[in-house]
Amino acid sequence: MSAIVDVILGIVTSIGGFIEVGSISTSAQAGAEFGFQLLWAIGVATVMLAVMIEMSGRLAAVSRHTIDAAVRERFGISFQWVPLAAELAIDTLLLAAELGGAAIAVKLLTGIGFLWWILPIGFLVWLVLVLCGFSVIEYGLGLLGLVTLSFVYAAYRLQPSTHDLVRSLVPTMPHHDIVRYMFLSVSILGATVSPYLLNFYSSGTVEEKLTEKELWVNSTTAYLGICFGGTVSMAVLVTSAMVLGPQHITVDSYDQAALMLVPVFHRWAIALFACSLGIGCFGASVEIALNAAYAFSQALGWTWGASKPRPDAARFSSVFTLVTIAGVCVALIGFDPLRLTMISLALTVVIMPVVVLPFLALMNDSRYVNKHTSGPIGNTFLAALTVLGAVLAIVVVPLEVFGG
Amino acid sequence: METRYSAAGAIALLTLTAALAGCGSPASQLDEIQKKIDGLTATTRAIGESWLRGDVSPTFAKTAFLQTLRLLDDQRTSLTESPQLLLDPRGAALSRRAEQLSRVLAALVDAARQRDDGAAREHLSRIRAGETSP
Repeated sequence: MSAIVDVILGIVTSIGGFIEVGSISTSAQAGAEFGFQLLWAIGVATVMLAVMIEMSGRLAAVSRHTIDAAVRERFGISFQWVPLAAELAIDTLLLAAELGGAAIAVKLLTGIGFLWWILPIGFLVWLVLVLCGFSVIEYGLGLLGLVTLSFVYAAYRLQPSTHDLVRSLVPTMPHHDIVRYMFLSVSILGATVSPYLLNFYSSGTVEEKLTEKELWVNSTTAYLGICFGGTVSMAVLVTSAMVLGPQHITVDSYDQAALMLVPVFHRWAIALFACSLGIGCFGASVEIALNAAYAFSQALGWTWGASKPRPDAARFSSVFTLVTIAGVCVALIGFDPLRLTMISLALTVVIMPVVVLPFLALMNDSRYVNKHTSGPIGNTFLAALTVLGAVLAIVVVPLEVFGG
Repeated sequence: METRYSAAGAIALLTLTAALAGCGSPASQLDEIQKKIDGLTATTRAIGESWLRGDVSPTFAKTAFLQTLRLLDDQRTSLTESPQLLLDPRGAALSRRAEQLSRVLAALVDAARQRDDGAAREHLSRIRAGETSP
C-alpha cells in the first residue's frame, strides 16, 4: 500500500515539478515562432529524460550509489573533476536563470522591478534548504507546482486539431529561420534533459532508501511522471502556438508569454502564469542548489543528505549555501533572464556528453547494477542523441549569440 | 590520432561557418528587425486590448508596456549602430516606425500609470489605424 502511495505521489510531483523557467520559455518561444512544428523535440527530449531518470533510479536502488558517487568510485577523482566542474558551472547559471524567472513572476504580480526580488527569493531558497527535509522539498514543491496544469486546461479549451498535433510529433524542417529552429530544438533538449536532474533523482532514491525489490516503483514513477510532465510542456507550446502565433507575437520577454493564458482565463490569466512560473522556478532553484551540494559532497566523499541534521553534514550545507550565493550574484548582474535561460540551456546540451557518457558506462557495469544492465540499443541511442545534441549546440550557440 | 584531429577540425569548421553566417547580410538583418518590430506592435496591441477588456490590471499593463519599450529600444539601437542599415530606405522606414511606436508606448505607459482608459483607447487606435505600420 505504501509503495502505491509512493508511486502516486511520485507521479503527481513529477508532473508538478516538470515546468520551470527553461520549459516555459523554450515552449512559449517555439509555439509562437513555429506553431506546433517543434512538438517532436519535446517528445524526443521527454522520452530521453524518462529513460535516463529510470536508469539513474535503477543505479541508485541497486548499487546504493548516486551517479556522482559511482563515477568517482569507478573512474577516479582525477576524471571526476571535469564533469563535476561542468555540472557546477551550469548549475550556477541555471540557478541564476531560475531565480530570475521566480523574480519575474513576482514582478508580473506587483509591477516592481525583478532585480529587487532576487535577494529575498535567494534567501527563501536557502531557508527551505536549511529547514526542510528531502520529502518536504520534493513533495511540497511538486504539489504546489500542479498549478501548471492550467496550461493543459488552456490547451484543451483552445481545441487544437488532433491531426495537426499528431503530425507535429514527426520532425520536419521549417520553411523559414532554420538556425532559430535548430537553436530552439537544442534549447528544448537542454530544458528537458538537464543533467542536474539525473544526479538529483539518484540522490533522492538513496535518500528515500528505495531497494532493488522496489524497482517497479522507480520505473513506474519515472516513465509515467516524466511523460505526463512532458504533456504540460507540450501544452505550453500548443497554447502559445494558438494564442501568440496568430497575433505574430514572438516571445522576447515573460510579459509577452504571460498573454498566452488571457483568452482562456481572462482576469486570472496573469496570476496563473505568474504562479506557474514562480513556483516552478522556485522549486527548480531549490533542487539545483541541492544538487550542486549533492554532486560536490558525493564526489569528495563528504557526508551528505537533505534529511540529515544540518550540523551532521556541515560541508554539504556550506556547498548549497555558497552555490545559492553564487546564483544570486550572477542573477543580480541583471542579464535579461530570458536570454540567460536560453544560453544556459544550450550550454547544458554542450556539456551533456561529459555527464551522460560516464553514466551510460556505469549502466553497463554489472558491479553496479547486477543483472539490471541497460541494453545496447537503448545505450547507443542515448549516446548518439547526446553527442548529436552537443555538436548541434556547438554549431548553433555562436549563431544565436553573435548573430543576435 | 588522425581521426581525432579531423573530428575537431569538422566541429571548428562548422562553428566558424555558423559564426560567419550569423553576421548576416543587411537585407536579412532588416528582415529580422522588421519581424521584431511587427511582433512588438502586436504585443502592444494585445496588452492594451487586454487591459481595456479588464483581463489584465493597469499595473501589469504598465510594466508590460515598459518592457516592450525596452525591447523596441534594442531594435532601434540595432538600426542606429549600423549606418549601412539606416542608409537603406527600408531601414530608414523601420527606424521611423520604431520611433512612432516608442511614442505610442510612452503614452500608453503614462495612461496605464494614471489608469486612464480613454487615453489608452485613443493611443491604441493610432496603432489600429496603421500609424506605426510600414
